[in-house]
Amino acid sequence: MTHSPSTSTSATNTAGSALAVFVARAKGGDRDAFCELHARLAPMIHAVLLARVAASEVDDLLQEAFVAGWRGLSGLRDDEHVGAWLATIARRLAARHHARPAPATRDVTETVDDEPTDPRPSAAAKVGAAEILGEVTALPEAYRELLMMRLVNGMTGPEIAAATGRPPDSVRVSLSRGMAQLRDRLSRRGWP
Amino acid sequence: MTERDMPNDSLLPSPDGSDDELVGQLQDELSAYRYTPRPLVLGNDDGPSSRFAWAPLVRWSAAASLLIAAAWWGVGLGTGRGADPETTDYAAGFALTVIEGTPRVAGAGVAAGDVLAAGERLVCDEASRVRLTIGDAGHVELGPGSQLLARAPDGPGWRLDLLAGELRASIFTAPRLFTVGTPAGLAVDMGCEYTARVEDDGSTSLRVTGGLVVFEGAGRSAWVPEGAVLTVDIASGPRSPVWEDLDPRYAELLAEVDGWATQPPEVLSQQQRDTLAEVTSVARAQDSLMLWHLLDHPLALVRKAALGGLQDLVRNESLSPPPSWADVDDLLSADPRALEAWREFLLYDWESE
Repeated sequence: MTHSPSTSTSATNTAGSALAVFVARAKGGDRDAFCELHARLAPMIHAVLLARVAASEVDDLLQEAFVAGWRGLSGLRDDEHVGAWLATIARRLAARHHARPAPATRDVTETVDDEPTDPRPSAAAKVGAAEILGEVTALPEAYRELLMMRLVNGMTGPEIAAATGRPPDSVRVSLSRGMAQLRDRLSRRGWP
Repeated sequence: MTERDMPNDSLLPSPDGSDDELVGQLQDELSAYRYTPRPLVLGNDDGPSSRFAWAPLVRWSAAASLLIAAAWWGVGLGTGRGADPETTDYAAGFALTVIEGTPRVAGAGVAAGDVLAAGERLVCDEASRVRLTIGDAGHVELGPGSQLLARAPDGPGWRLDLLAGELRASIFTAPRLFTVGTPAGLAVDMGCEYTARVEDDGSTSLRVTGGLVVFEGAGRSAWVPEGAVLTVDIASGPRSPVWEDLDPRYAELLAEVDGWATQPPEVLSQQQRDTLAEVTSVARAQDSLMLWHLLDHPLALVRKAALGGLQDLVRNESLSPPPSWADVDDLLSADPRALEAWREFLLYDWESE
């Protein structure tokens, strides 16, 4: 029985090591280092939250997640996994957000407040941005966060792998499967 | 560089390029939701530096020793909102709210506004239920026929001991601040919702409905994510957690393999080898939950079979592989650092169940 680690996994570890440098400095109280982590990881955390709560709630929870991360940074045992750790905090905050009284539940009909102010003309005008977002949100959890990173924040596969700490091959397969499911769902809604 | 500039991204292989085109269209459509960089406002919070100088020292400690160490140094554990050690009084007791019946503390019925103090025992008869407020981190509901002991904090955090019956915890705060002791060990909250039950013989069962719980007992730790259940025996500690919707027959076979940890057979019979083969031949990536927990089994044959099953999942189901620095020998010898590092990746697969 043998195991042959892929070189792509090594690439992920390299990215994690780069983040770990900032984590180490931030643990020493360096605010600038933590702000650098924020700059690098905020798009990923933003996508994690957008997969769970209404768009109008994301910015506040994003700020809350990083503040919680700043306060609890020494609770992080493996500095290289700071992205996954912050994502867990964000998921927890999103869960707590849903536990609050009378939160807005997320579904495809929730378009009034969240409709983009500048929807661009497209060939698929019948299926608006909110509906597309709703379809992504309806995907299995394994896919929806990654597709939010990909489709909303324009992150490439390697960038997603670096931010989340997931192996690139795993990200690639999940993105591919998620896109296949999303394509099916959009087709049923009349996407060309 | 945006995705539109990279139409041939190999991470979305579609022979006709249709995925690339679809990605571009969807990115345009969803552009209004895109993340807009904003400065991070940390306010006057001191952050981790002053409170966490001891963090590396406790890196190898279990949750209990972490809390003790924090108390020893007189410093706090950084937390999420509402649980800042500088503002949270963990010794303030637990506010009680009667849900039904007549819960009792020291023989007296609980009244509105009562607080359960450290050292006090809360008892619910078969017709009673009561809610305890855990600071502003959440709450615990003690069910009928149950008993609970409030423990004095020995550091930042809250501690309850479930002596009998069942409780349901809903906690949203930083990991490891809320713990529940049972005769079989310690449930360490990682931000979660779960039900814990103590049977007459002291064995404990755990059912996690949100987040993640770590259960520590008899020198072993089990990681129980949302959707999984765990059984803990007093003598042998936690078994391997299983998904709640798992085939009961598989769960029985897994329990048999777990049982070999305390009563190891000298030589595995053919029937036991068949059992092991069936347990370690799983098809879904999320079933790595069970196999990972077998990697510290005392029997080398079990560890080897579990690792083989996990490697199959890596190859066939895109399961996250172990860290590149961990070789087969590290994993087969149950090297804690290697197993823990792999688990950090697998948690994502388990959370996505």
